[in-house]
Parts: sequence; structure tokens; C-alpha cells
Amino acid sequence: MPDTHTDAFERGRRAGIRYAMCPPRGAPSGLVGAHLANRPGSSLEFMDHRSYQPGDDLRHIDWAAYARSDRLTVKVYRHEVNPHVDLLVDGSRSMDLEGTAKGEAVRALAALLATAARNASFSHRLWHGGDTWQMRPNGSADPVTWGALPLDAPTDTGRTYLTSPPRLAPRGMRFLLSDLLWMGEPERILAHLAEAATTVVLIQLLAGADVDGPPHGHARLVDSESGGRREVFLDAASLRRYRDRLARHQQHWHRAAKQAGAIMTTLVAETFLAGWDLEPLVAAGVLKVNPL
Amino acid sequence: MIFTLPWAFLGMAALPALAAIYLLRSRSRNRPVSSLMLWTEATRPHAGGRILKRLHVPLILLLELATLALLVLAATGPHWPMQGGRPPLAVVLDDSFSMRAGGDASPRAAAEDYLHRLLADEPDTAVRFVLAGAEPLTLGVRSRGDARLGEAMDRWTCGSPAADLETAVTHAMEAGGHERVLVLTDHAPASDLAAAGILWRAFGRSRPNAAIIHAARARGPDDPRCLVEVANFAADARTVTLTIQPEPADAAPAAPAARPPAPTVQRVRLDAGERRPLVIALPEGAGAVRVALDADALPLDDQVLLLPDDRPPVRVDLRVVRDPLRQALRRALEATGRARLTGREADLIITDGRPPAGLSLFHGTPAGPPERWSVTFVVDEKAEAFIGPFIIDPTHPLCEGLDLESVIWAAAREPAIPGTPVISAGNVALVTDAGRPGGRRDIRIRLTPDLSNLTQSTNWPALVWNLLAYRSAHLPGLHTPNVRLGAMVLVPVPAGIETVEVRAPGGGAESRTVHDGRVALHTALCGRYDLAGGETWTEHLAAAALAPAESDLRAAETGDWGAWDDAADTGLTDRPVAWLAILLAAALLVAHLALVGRSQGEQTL
Repeated sequence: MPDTHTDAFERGRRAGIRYAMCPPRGAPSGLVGAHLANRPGSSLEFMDHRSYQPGDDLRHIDWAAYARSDRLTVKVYRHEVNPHVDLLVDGSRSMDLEGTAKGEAVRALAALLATAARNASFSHRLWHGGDTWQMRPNGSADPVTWGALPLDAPTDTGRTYLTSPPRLAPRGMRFLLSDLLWMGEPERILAHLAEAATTVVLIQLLAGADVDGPPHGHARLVDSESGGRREVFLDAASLRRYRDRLARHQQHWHRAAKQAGAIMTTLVAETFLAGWDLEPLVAAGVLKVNPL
Repeated sequence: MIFTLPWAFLGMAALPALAAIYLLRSRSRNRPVSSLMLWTEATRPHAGGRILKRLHVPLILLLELATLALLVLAATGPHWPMQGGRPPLAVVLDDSFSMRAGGDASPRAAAEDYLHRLLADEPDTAVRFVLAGAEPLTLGVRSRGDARLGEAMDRWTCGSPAADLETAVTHAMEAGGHERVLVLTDHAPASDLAAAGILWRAFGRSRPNAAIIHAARARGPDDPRCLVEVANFAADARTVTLTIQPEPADAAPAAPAARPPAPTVQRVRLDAGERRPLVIALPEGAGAVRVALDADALPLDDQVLLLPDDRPPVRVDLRVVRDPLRQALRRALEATGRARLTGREADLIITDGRPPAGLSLFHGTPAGPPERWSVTFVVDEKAEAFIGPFIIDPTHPLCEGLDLESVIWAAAREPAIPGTPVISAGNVALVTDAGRPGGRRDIRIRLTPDLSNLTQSTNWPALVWNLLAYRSAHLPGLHTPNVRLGAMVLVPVPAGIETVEVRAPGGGAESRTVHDGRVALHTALCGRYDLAGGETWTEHLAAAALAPAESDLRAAETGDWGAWDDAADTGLTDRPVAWLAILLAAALLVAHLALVGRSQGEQTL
């Protein structure tokens, strides 16, 4: 099994070579950064002078200028940032849906995003959502060293997120990789994700079977997480209603994401693995394509 | 319920096959999904989806199974007993005169009483009556709701000399729609009743009976005798008294009353079951003679009226000149006793083609009035002997009793003689018969006696007898005036008479139309029939109940044989209900089509 996971990580890593994370548009702060922020900060690179205002750090008063002009001025330095990426992977069983490429896709996508972060010199951590949200060991390292990433939690990841949320790095970029197929209010989860975050990205990863539904005929639907069963007769009408409900569910998440300032996109596992196309994230300014 | 084709139930094997196909086809397969949350419906859908589809599918299967079962049921030809009223009844009435034995306690009276009681309980039953006489006769149908028995009882006179019950029952069953046949008679059935639905009821009683079973009158005024055969149909010997009562020769109902001659009485001792013929001498010039026995259980066969048989012989003008042939003809004619050789006003002229003086010939045939038939012997000098095979028309009166085996018949091949061939040797006609206008017939016989042995064979007197009988049958007057009861008599009527007045024994008179020179008369009653036509023509005949089988009452008995079907007796009839199964199947198919059509409509949305 780990070999399979490693293969997926490797494929994702190779695919992620051509991408790099874009710096967040917000104001992440760090003591040592590789990127200059657009706002003043505490880095060593001088940017400008301005009049002292109460509350300014006294250490930044330009005493020499005060001596010359008898006016208190402070030095303004460009803020130097070193962004951090938190990759939150939904570890429930539905993410490794039987008969689909969903598990491989989510692992490869996590590896791709980690590689893109590394390409941008962003730090990253990998979080696994199961009964609790835990940081994966080696999650900050190269994806090929991650080892196994089980997707077998028989729980509702959304509920566990609310009951035991991960301790995410402030002012970091947060990626949630999930199928988002759970009941609950997405606003609460998104509010928690967006708290002290510069960028929140929701990537809904679905299998083709999730999108299209099972084939026509008599079917015994088995919930991959709870094991619940339901006898149905699937025809065009019933599948149409399923797709309508899925669309309404996605619209609900999109609306909540918009309110929280998050970026949300949906990927189909089989399609993603076939082309590694992350154009929606590139268009949203989350990723950029490295020049060859 | 009755199934006419029960093997069709094998079709029921298709039901589990259909169910198996259906279940295999509709078997649910496990389909893992990420979550069931999107498959939970807050409200039940109008169509499709979980619940309603689970209802649709078994309903369609149930409709198909029910339709298949109904079609199989229809194929078995089911019949369901229904109360549809009693089926029509056919009543076969024994019309033989033995039904009249016993007077007021006769089988006929008992049978009629039973019939009244039976039909009183079934006023709504249609009844068809079949009269079983010598020949069955359908009398008519009593319609539903008609409490009367109609004219059937009036026509049930029991005057027939025989009762062909078997044929009558067949007629009754073939009349259609009669699931019940009731036979009313006085004796048991001859064999077991093989056919179902026949109830045979006999009301007879074994009785001793003495009867006249045969009676005949000697022919011609020169032989005043009569033959009477009496029988004692009893278990014990008895002495019967035979009364011979001659009547005046010209006695007729319309004639003035004449004093009858004194009767002659004979006492005859008969053993049990003995039949004895008696030759009774009659006085000279005796007319009708009434012979009677003592009255007993069956009066009808105790007396007989014998009319004098004064029919004249056939007058034959024998003009054959070739001596061997002439002698052979003369001997044969005299041996018959039915011919009188004459030279004037002959009924039959026999010639050998050599016209005597004063007789004209028309195409070699003696010409003459219609009553003169001719027999022409064509004698050829150069003849050829034929030893057969001879082709004989068995339906022609001249051929009755002829057997030409080992006969040598000499004749020339040509020229052919005119007329319809009656006897031929290959394509050579030896005897022909030709009809002439007015009813005259010309018979030609091609024969060379010198080279033939026909005149020395037994066929010769038979042929001459047939010639006389053929001619005699077309002479005016009765063949015999004494006939049996129930006989159909064709009475020749002289030309020019178109209607004949017939006076029956009961006194009733009716006018009959003459067809083809004859009047048909059915002797339904015993006694004397007087016929009169034109100004002077009269004829008389008498009918007597001469039927030993009917006079023998020893086998008569009372009892029931056979039975009607229970369903027919109770009014429950097995009605075919296949149409109902087909109708239900069609309705189910319509419902099935509606369900399938709606389902297909949804899938196209």
C-alpha cells in the first residue's frame, strides 16, 4: 500500500515541478522571509521615511533625521515574508472510493501542491484529517518521503475539524483537499480556515462516479464511510435529481467560500490524473507555471 | 371447474422462468458511493428514485405473471359451472302400437302423465318432441314458458308398426343444444346407453297377448281364400277364437247397407309362444273379410280387414313368331300366373321384330297407345356368343334377381339397339329400355336363342317375371289392396285425374293431389281407405297392424335406464370461461403497457 502511495506522491511531485506557489496577496509576516511584502515591515531593506505616529516602534525612529530636522521620523522598511502552506487532506474513506482514482488523485494533488510550495521556497506542512486532524510526520519534507497517507477514516471529516481543529500557522496559505461530501455548515469550517490565513483554497476532488452517479438499473448504494446501504432503482430521472442535489451542494460551498474570501475549485480525479490541469488555481493566482 | 385441455397447464412452467429472468435482470448490485447524503430525498419523488421504483418493478412483474397465468388458464379451456337454467330437453316418443296395450293403463297414458308432471316442474324449459315411428319425425318445439304440450300429444297416436328409437334418439341429439334426451317407451333399451345425457324411461308391463301377425288374400276371384297367421305371445297355452266376417263384395261406406253374411268362428288352441298360419276358405264372391280374435290387452292387432285382390293380370299380346323363342316365352308367362295372353287391348306386346299383318311398326317397334308397352326381341342371324362379363343395371326393375353367371348370350354387335342399356356385354347393349311420351316404354332384348342358353337358365323366368312386374307396377290400381299399418302406398291413378279424395278409417276425408300419375298415401290407421277420383275411378285398400315384434308384449317392462348429467339435471351448466381469462389478460396488458410507457417517458426527460 505505501508503495502505491509513494507512486502517487512521486507522480504528483513530478507534475508539481512545473508549478510554483504564488506569494499570498495578504500580509503574512515572518521573521525571516524570502519575499518582500507589499507593506512595510521589519526587514532590513529600507523602503521610505514617514512621520512618527504614536505606537510606532521606537527602535525605528531615525534619530539622525531628528537631529537634523527636529522632527521625529521613522524609517520604513519593506516587510520581508517567508510564506507557509498548510495542506489539509481529508482522510475519510470517501476520498479513496472503491473503483475510482480518487485516492491516487488526492495523494498526487497533495504532492503536487507541496512541490509547488517548495518550488516557491514556501514552507509546508501536511495535515491528515481522520478522527482528529493531525500533522503528518515528514509532511514538511519532500513528498516522496511522506510514506503512507491512509484514507480510511470512517468519520465525518467536517465534524472532526470543528471538534478538534488543527493548529494551523498564522498568515499562511491553507489548502483543503476534500470531496466536501458531508453534511454541516461550510461557513463554520471556512471561518476557521480563513482565520489568520492569507489564502484559503478549497479543492473539491470528486471521482467521476461522484459526478455522474452509478449506472442505470437496480443498485444497492453503499456508503463508503458509514457502510450504510440503500436499495434504489437508478434511471435517468433519479440520476438527474442526484446531479441536481450535487450541484446545489457545491453551490452552497461556493457561496460560503466566497463569503470567507476563499478560493474553491472542483477537480475530477480521473480527469486530473490524465492531464494534471490546475488551470483554475493558476487563474486564481494561487499557482503559477514555471517557465521551462 | 373443468379443463378441456389440462395439458396446457404445462405453460405454467413459464411463470417461474419469467420470475427467474426478472429477478436475475433486476438483481441489485453493490455500488459504493462517497456518501448517501445526496441520495436521501426529503420528499418522495413522483417517479423514479427509490421507493416508487421499487413499487413499479414488482407491479410490472406481477402484471406479467398474472397475464401469463391467465393466458395459460385460457389455453386449458376452462369451464365453470353456472346456474343458467335447465338445458333444452328432447323427448323421444315411442309411437309403436304396443304403447297402446292395456287401454287406460297403457304405457302411453303413463308416459304422458309422467311428461306432464315433469314439464310442470320445468315451465321454462324448451322441449323438442321427436316421434319414434318406423321413421323418426320431429314434431316441433315447445317454447319456454308454454305450459301446454301442444299438438305433440295429439300426434302421438301410437299407430306405427315399429319404433326406430335409436335413430330417433340420434335425431334428438343432433337437433342441437339438447343436453338432455328423454325416451318414453315400454321396453328396456336394446343395449347399454353409451351416450351420456339420455334418460330412458319405460312404462310397459309384460302382458299375454294373442295377435294376428300375418294376413293375406288370395289373388283373383277364382281363388276365394285368405291366409291368417295367429300367435300366442304368452307364457301359457290358450285357445283363441277366430271370427271371420265376410262383407258384401261391393261394400263401401257410401254404399247402401247390405245384410252381412253370417260370420264363421274357429277356435284355435295355441301353445305358449306358438305362431300358426291358418288358411281360411271364403265363400264365392266374398268381398272384404274381417278376421278378428278375442279382445285382449292390445286390441289393435286382434283384427284385420282383408280386401279382395281383384286386380286383373297383365294382358300380354305374344307376337313372337320364331318358334323356340315363342315357346320359351309362353311357358314363362304362364308360369308366372300374372299374365293373360290376349290378342286385343294388351298391356304388353311382345314381338320378335317381324310385324304381323295389320300392325305398323315405328322404328321396328310396335306403335300404339301409351298403355301398350312393347318388348321387342331382336334376333340376329349372325350373332356372337357372349359369356360375360355382363354389365347389369342393378337399379332397373328388369334386373331384379338376375344372375348371368355361366349364361351364354348370343347377339350381334351391330347395329346398336336404341334405348338406355340395362344389360350389356362390354359395349354391346343386350337389353335396353326407352321411354316414350305418355309413359309408354319400349324394351328391346337382343337375343339369338339358337346360340344362347338364356332361355334354359333360371334367369329366363326371372326376366319374364320382371317384365310383367315392371308393366304391372305402372298399370292403374293397387299392387295389393291389403297393406301393413304405417306403410307408404303409391296408388297409380288413371291419366286425367288430378286430385283424389281419400277417406280414412276414422271417417276423415281429404283431397290429395296426383303427382306423376300416383297418389301417396300413408296408412297411419288400421282399417279401410277409400280413394275416389274423376267420375268413376275408385280404389280401396286396407291397413292392418301386422307387426309381431310390437304384438309381443312379453318383453315390456317398467324402469329407468341412463341418466342426465348432474349439471344438466340441476340446471348447472359448465360454461366456457376462457373469454373471461383472455379479457382479464388483455386488461392487465393494457395496464402493463401504461406503466412501461410512463417509465419510458420519464427516461426520456
